[in-house]
Amino acid sequence: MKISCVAIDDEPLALDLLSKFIQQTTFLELVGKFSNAIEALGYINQHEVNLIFMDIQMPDLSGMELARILDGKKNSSPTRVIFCTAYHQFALEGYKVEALDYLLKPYSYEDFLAAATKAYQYFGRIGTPAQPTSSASQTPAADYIFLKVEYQLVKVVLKDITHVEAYKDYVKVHLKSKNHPLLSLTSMKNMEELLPKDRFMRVHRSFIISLDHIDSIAKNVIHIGNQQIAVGDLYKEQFSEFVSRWTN
Amino acid sequence: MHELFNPGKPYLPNKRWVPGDVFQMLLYVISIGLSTSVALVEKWQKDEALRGELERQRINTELSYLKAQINPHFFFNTLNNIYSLTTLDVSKAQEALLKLSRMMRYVLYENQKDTTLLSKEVKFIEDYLELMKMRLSQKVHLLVKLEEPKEDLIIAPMLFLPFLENCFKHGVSSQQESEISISLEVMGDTVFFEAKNSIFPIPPDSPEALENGIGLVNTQRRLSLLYPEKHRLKLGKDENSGQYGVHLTINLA
Repeated sequence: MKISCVAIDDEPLALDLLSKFIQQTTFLELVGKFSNAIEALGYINQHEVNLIFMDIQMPDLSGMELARILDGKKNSSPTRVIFCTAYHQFALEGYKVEALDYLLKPYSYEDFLAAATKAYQYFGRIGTPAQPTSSASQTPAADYIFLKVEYQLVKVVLKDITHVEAYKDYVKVHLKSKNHPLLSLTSMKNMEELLPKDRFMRVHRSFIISLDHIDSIAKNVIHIGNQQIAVGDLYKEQFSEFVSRWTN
Repeated sequence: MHELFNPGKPYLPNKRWVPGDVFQMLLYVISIGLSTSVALVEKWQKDEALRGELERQRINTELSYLKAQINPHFFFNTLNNIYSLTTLDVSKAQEALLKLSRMMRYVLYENQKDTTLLSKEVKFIEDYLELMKMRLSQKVHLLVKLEEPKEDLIIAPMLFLPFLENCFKHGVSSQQESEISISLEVMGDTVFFEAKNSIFPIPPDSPEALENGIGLVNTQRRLSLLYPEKHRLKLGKDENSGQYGVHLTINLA
């Protein structure tokens, strides 16, 4: 399943580039491109659109207004916005209307892809890896990973990992079979990419948990064994979405 | 004392010569008065010179504050368009880059000076409009008539830009056709500038709405400081055509 996208920009060349970037991205599907927000709004009201890439400064109806209109009826339409603009001053406004990201013109395909990947994670479309952006994201289908621990690569079975904890420049990988965690020199970001997204989730700046090992959830605290892990503010939305999958 | 030098003679003081005393008194008064007035005049002249200097400095400060500035987003939007063009038409992209760099040179260096050549200013307007054209949709019709000045006149830099920016700010709609026309003519020492555009409301919370016309007010002030009695500016909505028009005449002699 792809994320359906609409591109809006009053400048023809900018719209061209934006559309090209969307088409170039495998997990995005361009369903419409518009040179003004009014026509786009008409389309969005009648079709299912997941994601809008748009400029802010446009005649007649600005991107910010459109975002506000859509934000107002959030319940009926799960449409999210990524702004692409030359105005850095409106980033704060952008976050107020809950834009997923804010691209500053001119932006490269790498910038665009980073924003699109955010959307991809937001919509939680799990399956084939999004795009081979780095070798780390090409998760092997295997049931184990290799971790660098004190000058050697240690094979770790995914099932054995209960959670991963940030520890200065290292990460502590807690295993069910061992009392002491493995200490590996890598970043949380790398770990997040290394671990399959359908089985692991980042819930805090310092924690990635194994979904299989969750014992219980109380409000925003997750219990794994005798460990309690709080869900960070940044990750609440994503986590509550996961929880709602099972509570409905 | 009298006794000591003239023993035996009685002391008979001379009779006071009153006119002499009066004369001396007058002499005192006149000399004091004269020196005071000379000092006063000197001080007054010094003050006057200082006041003139301060006034000049104040005007210079005000002028440097009023200096026209190009909207920075123009650059970023244009760069984004050029980025897009590189994948479509390389030679057009190259052309646009050259225009942009010429403009940047003008904005960075010429705009620092108090004056520039009219021919450079016209070239700047031309580049600006060419790059702007690249950003417009098919619905906007841009008519440009710029006359190359035959002999070089001296003018303050970026005097016309705020009027141009205004045209694109108010004169573009995504729904309707619109027309923007710009013309510049030179006759002898006099420049005739004219800008006309259709009027559309600006969305209230668009970034441009927040810039609320400071550019125009500044330009008017700048004109009155730089070309007092030598320019004529007429702006407003023309009831017949429904367009907004700017007519500016400056005598550069």
